[in-house]
Amino acid sequence: MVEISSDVIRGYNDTMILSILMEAPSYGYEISKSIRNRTDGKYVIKETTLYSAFTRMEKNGYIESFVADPDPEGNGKKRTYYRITEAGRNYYREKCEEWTLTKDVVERFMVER
Amino acid sequence: METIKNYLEAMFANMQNTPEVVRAKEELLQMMEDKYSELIAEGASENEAVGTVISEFGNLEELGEELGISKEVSLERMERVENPKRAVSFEEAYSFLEFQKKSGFRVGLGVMLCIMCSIGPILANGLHLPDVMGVLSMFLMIGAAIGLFVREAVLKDFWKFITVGNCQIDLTTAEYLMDVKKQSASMRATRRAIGIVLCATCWIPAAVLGEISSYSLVDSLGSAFLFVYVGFGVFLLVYTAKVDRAFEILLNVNDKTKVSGSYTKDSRVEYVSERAKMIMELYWPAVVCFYLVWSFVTFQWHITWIVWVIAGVMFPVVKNSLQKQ
Repeated sequence: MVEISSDVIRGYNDTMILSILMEAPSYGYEISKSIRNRTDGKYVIKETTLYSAFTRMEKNGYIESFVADPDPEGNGKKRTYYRITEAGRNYYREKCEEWTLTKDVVERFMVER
Repeated sequence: METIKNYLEAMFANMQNTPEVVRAKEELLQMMEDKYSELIAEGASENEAVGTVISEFGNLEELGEELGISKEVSLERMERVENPKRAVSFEEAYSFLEFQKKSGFRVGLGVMLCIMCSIGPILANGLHLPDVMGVLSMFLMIGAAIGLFVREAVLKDFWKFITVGNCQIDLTTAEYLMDVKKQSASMRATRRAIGIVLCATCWIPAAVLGEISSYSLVDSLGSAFLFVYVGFGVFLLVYTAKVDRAFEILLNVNDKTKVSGSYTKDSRVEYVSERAKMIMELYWPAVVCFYLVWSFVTFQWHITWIVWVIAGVMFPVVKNSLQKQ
């Protein structure tokens, strides 16, 4: 079975996370679940990868963290939530353009022979 | 869930205990817990859920870079190769506790024999027996004591890896030890208190017997009792000290600057309130003041010393009742 090479996808973990945060603020497990569901389980992000991305992007100012309760009635355990910043949105757009270009270039060599 | 927690603790055990590291550990645990609960809710078995969560965890090198601790991570790797920490298993920790108990018994008995060895000559004298019998019993007791000490020294060698070595205990073992320590706290305090009372009251039989009779036999019985009291008292004190020491050694093997060092942070004494802490800090100074004031006011120095006995006996009682359980 073919598996995703972690070297290739590494550059796009941040983009995936930002894309999810564009919709609404979210927390660790919820984000990892969204990634799995959206890729039909083809890509499962590792916990360490996810947390590294959070700390890195927070340092770069792309996201901000805050503490909130996922339960609307406030009876749940608090989670660290992340929300996207303006810098994060800009970065996301750049990455999208970069990907279009990368895909275009790489695909020219991916011909079934 | 326990398995996941222990897995994470083991991964982080040798990391520096910094706020970033602690936060990373907590966040990772939260994500793993969430994933675990959802898998269980979807009908996975405990084993399946744990397996999935652990296999999807990733690796710490990746975190190292982001947390700015990659230097520490690689240093830790190097240290692990050059100067590996010996992991002390749960069974080993348990056996060490048992060994310290036996060792406390051996050393305590040895010291007791040394203290009591003069009883033979004293009684021989009182009973007008030939001196040689008293001396013989004295040497027999000293011989037995030396035998016990030598045996102790030989057996102790086996546990060097814990007492002087570079080793580490895991979270489960640390929690077990703290539990046992807590449960046995009052027992140990009682033993110590009895030991102190015996030492402090050792002169009573001699004094009482001296009052009621002036026969030399009764006199020497009184002296013999003094050594019996002190002997038993010291035995109890040595025994308790050895057991206490076992907990102290085991609970302090982990490096305090590392995450694993925080497993046993509760082993420090904590009091129920600030006031309780103050009482405990002022306990001995207050006793000294009381003793001096009472003594200088009354000049009954032959009575006032009893303050020390009462204070010594009360100390573990007060301490235990004010301590956080």
